[in-house]
Amino acid sequence: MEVLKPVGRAFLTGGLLLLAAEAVRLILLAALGAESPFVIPLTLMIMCLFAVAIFPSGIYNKWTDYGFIGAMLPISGLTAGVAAAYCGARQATGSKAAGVKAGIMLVVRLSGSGLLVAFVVALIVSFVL
Amino acid sequence: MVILQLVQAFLVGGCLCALFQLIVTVTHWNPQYVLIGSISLGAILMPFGVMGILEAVGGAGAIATFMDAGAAFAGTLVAGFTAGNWMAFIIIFCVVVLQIPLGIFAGALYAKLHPQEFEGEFQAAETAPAEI
Repeated sequence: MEVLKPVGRAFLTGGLLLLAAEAVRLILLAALGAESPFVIPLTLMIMCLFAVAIFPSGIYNKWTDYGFIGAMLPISGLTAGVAAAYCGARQATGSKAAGVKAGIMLVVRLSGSGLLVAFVVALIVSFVL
Repeated sequence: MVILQLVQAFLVGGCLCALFQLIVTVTHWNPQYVLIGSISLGAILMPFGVMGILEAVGGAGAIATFMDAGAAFAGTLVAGFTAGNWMAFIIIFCVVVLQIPLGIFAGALYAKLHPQEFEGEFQAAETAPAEI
């Protein structure tokens, strides 16, 4: 039961955040048309701007405390993660530069590793095709 | 129809989050490594069509996750390598890179609105060398 509690919270938090993302995507699809290449990038950017808008109030931190991976796995979690890394480093060192560095390093670590794997997969797929 | 799409996004997104939360809860791995694993898993599953099925069923419930970022990287890189179309990769890459200034801006704004959380730590960091 103790294992299922955080899993249920992650399901609820992640599900609700991604339901909001789907609502944004459907609105953009209606506005721009299904053929527009900007629907997905704009959906992702609006999710990130949503995180920017609510992180300063401390609400996103509360969601992360409650839903944990449920708040981190949606793309808005990356923006909130960078903001949290900035705040954490700034609190620890008192330096804005250290905060900026921590934010950059988080994105480099997370997307860099994914990009590396994606690059290898893409090379293999391209070679097979 | 719209309601069904929203419910599907909620279920697919919720299930993905629950799956990775289960991994973190059971293994006690660092969540950052699990997120890296989710991006890599998305890239690895892309050629098998798994991410395509998740996107078709869940819409943004799958698309707006870290897992799909890996698949998007892999898919757009394949388009670049095979057809020479790098535009989609550049767009996705820019979206990821833009998270840095956006996140830092949000963090700076948080620091501005909650100065009391930073002053104590800042003073501790400033006085620490003097105590030594």
